[in-house]
Amino acid sequence: MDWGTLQAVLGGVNKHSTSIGKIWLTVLFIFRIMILVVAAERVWGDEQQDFVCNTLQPGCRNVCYDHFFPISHIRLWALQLIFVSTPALLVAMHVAYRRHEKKRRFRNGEKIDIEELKNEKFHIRGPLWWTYTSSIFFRLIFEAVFMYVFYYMYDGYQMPRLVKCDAWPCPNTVDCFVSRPTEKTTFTIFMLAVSGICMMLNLAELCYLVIKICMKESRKTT
Amino acid sequence: MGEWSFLGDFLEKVHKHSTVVGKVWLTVLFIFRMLVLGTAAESSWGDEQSDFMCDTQQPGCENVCYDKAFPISHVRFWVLQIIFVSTPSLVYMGHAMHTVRMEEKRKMKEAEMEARENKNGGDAYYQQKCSAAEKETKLSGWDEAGGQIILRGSLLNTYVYSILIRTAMEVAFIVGQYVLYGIFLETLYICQRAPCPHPVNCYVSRPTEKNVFIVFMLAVAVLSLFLSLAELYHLGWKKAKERCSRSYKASPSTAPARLESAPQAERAQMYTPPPDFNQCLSSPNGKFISPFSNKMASQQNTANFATERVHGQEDAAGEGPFMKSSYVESPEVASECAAPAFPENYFNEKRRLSKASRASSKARSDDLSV
Repeated sequence: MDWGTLQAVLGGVNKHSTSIGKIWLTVLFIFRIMILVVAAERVWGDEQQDFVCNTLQPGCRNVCYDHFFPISHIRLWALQLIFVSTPALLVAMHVAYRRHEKKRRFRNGEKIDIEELKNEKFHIRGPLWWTYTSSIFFRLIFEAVFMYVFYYMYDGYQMPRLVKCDAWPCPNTVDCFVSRPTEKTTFTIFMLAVSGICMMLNLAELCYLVIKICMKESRKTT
Repeated sequence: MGEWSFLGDFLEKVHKHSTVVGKVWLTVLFIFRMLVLGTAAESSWGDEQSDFMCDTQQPGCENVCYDKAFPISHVRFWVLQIIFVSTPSLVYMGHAMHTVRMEEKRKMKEAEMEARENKNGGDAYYQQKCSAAEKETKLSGWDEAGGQIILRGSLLNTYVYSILIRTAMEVAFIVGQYVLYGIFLETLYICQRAPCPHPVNCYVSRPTEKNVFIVFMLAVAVLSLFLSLAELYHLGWKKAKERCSRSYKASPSTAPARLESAPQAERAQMYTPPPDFNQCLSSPNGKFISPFSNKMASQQNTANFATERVHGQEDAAGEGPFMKSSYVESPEVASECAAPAFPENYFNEKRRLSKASRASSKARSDDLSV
């Protein structure tokens, strides 16, 4: 999975973020994407090969694995990271649109410094504030949804060592053993903790933006 | 190594703004830990589970025995170690960038204030300066050519705390590795866990090669720990030396004219006084010259610091900044258009400076003319 493209896109958004947004982005890249790529993918690498069932019945192992792991943790995390990063693209699109508008005005004869245009940092005000705030809101929603999906799908966050399976064509209730359960539990809890931290950062950023705009409005009226 | 590029990019920036020992530590991290882990150790541990053999036909016994023997694989443990040990540097980096950004914002506000006041005052020369100053402040104070931050005040504290936390993390992970696995890996592991019917002999794959890497990574961790401690000692020793020299109140002739950020400079920074007026006036053709990008002003600054140090020995600033990473960038850059509302202390300093006009190379009579 090539996360470099995502890094390139989100790097552009970084310039127009608040400080908390920048911290969130750093946490996302180092504690989530990097851990996923460097460590977690290896841990889950042999999850089906080393899923062993106490039976000689052909097909039983396949069916049991599929029953207990409908979608692998790794793929769920990858989806979570993509969904959580996507709202930032809204902000990137908005900024690109404003730059485009400025370029259009420049072409129509207004005096705008073209160099400055490339490096201009847009302040989070007006319509951009709404785009930015809604992107944070969506990020929060996606994080919460994925955390719930994990909990619902795997009955909690701990990886069991032994699962009892009686799906067809297994002849009876068969013991199946998961590969590396302790290591998987460790990483699941780690990713959960980092998700929680990211959610708190998003909440803090949301509160900061709302308070800032309220203070500005009150200053205008007084 | 491409997978480590996320962390690598961030640490490159930290590398630019570290002390010498910090740079050595980062190099050790990059080469002896990340690179070795990414290339050699990964392939050595690649078949750790597939070649973990147990002397039993019982299905599931190998799985559970492997899980009991290796609750977390060495490679993943080292990955977590590297990440947690690098994290404090990132926090320091964040603080430094935040400081720079706040400085830029403050300078911009000052420049704006000055521009507004000069609109009423009507001095065209200052207006020109102010607009130029405004533009200068918009430049990123972080990435100017050779620009680095000078460690002082709260930034220095963050740096020290980051090293302390880093040291604590190193110790925690070294101890953790010892608690989990001891030092060496045995070839034979005897396992008694359901569904294994009885104690079963299990054989670890490539134990000698793994031991070599374990010892290597342990040695590098200990080396990093020593480097962190050395950095702490270096910082602490300089701080103590500074405190001693301040407490003995050295005479003017012996006070070294170092640019190692005198406490007065730190206090001066807290009150944010602008540079001397003669710097505004000294440029021959009225063009704005960024003071720290030319040698003349830099020398002037050296002299200023020396005189400040000499005449302000009684000022006990809490944390004497004793770390320098560069001479180039200082927070007092570019706000040439001084806000007229100086704090009281600043005028005291100014008087002191003009008393010591002999110490500076610039003519001081200009001060009074303004």
